[in-house]
Amino acid sequence: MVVDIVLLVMGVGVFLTPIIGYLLGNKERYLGYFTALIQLIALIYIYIYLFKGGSLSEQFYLFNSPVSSILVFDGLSLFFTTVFLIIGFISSIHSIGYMSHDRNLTIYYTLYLLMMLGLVGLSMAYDLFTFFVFWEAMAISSYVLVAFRYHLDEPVEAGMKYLIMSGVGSLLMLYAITLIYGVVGSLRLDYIIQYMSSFMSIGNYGLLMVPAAIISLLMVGFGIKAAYFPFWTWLPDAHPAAPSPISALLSGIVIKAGILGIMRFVLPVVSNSRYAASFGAPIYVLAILTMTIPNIMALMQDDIKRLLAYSSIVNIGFILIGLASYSYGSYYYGAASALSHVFSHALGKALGFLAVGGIIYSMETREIRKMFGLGRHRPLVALALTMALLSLAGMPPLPGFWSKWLLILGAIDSGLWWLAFFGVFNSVLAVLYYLWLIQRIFFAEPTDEVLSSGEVHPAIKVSLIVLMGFMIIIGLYPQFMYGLAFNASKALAPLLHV
Amino acid sequence: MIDLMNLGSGGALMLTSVILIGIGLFAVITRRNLIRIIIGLEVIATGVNINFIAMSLLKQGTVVDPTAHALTIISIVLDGALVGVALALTLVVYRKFGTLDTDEIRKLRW
Repeated sequence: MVVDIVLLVMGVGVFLTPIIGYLLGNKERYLGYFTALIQLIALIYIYIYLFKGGSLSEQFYLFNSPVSSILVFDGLSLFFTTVFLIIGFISSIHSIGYMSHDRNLTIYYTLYLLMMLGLVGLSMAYDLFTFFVFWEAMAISSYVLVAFRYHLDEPVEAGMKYLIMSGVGSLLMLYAITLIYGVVGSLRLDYIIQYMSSFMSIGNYGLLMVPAAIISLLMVGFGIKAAYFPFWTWLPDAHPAAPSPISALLSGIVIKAGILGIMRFVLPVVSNSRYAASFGAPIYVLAILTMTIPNIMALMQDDIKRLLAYSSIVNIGFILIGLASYSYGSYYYGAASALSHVFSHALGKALGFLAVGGIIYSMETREIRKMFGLGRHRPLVALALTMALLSLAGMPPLPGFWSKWLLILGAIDSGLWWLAFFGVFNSVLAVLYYLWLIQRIFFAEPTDEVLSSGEVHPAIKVSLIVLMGFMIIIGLYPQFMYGLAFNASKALAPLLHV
Repeated sequence: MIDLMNLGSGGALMLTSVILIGIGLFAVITRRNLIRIIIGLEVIATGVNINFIAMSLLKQGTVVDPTAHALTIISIVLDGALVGVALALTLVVYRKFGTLDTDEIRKLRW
């Protein structure tokens, strides 16, 4: 009784938002509180359910057959729902301040909640078609949200580009889903795992082309959303063009939906066959390319949101390290390290984009050169940005350190020394521009733009303080993050029992 | 569970869907006009939906499995939403830039 209640709360929220927005009239900016409240209720309900001793293997279906739609609430759902709802809650508080000068906010908050509903549904979907429906709900609302400020040039163009690339990706994913339906006769994950593990042990190498093609198509579909090599080209345009709270959502959690898809539907299937390592080899290469190339691109950026967007791609590469070490046999660390990096990167990158949102709100610029010396005039925003960058760089008391440490440990545990080396190398390379940015923000002479900047909206300050506090708690008490991640990695291997 | 070596009547439909997806991908990659790109997306979607129907024919047994048809209808609805959003954005692009050529609206570094 947790899957249906949570989705019901979110769904009722989606339907009530336009009605309340209509009733509020020109006070529609207060809808942000309602959006935050809906997500908070869903989050608190989940933890009350767990506190009362609710099980982590709940399934929800209308009738139990191979073709029925099915939702589950297991460790992976718990993990991703927690991440999604925390970031969504904080970003919607931020939206109250950041979007206070915009119009059409009813549409904004409706799409916002619809995207969150799609994300929460994705984490609970256990059959591929339900997954696809929630995926499209999430994707279509995110296209509109990227292009929300349609009176400007950049968001429209970036939204169009994002729509075309991501649309092709989700259609290719649907093609893979139809092929799975034809081969397996069911779209439920348990049936797929059972069928594939027997199918892949036949030893007829010609027939192995079929699952290989299906998995490649799925990886293209998930990869365009997760933005790893070579599908990232939409990301450095779409993430800066979106309003800052939406950038925080896109970089923090929407690109993680691709990782969720890989973890839910690809990793269990391949790790239960004999061919896990031949899935791991391409992931190995992809991880190295996805980490290194955008890292060098990020060094050359003069737009702060573009820099953070490239850094998101780098971190997707870090997450792929975990997936590679999982498929090379590190069942204990592999998935858990990838998941804890999902957690820490979601917190760090969301805080980064929200802090940049505060800067844009008060200074109306995204150029790094104009932000020099910000630390003395807007201390809270500068502190938040610093903390986000330090966490992304992997400074010890912050969550970024704990997850990167686990990632390197997993890579070494599975014997992938080169991958561990590239992980450390790219961490160091990223520290270059993070520390440069921090140094410029605090120790350079303030520019004219900084001196003439306006006050930051209180809602933005509240969102930054809440997220900073949460990051400090996770940094000092990483057992919460690790517990969620290790629980989730147990749910990944239903037949392996690791 | 199907016999992959014996595709039967579904094979022709599968071939059709592969050809349609190829045409659509070609259009999306090579065309410069946004409307043509969106038509390309729609052609891919049609190919995928046809493949869904073909897959339901492949299942052995005398009765055609209705699941694929139900899911196809849902996926047509989702395609409709996608194309609706795409055309709305195209309209905004046209009002803003006065052209639909992707080479001319290129302000970002693609």
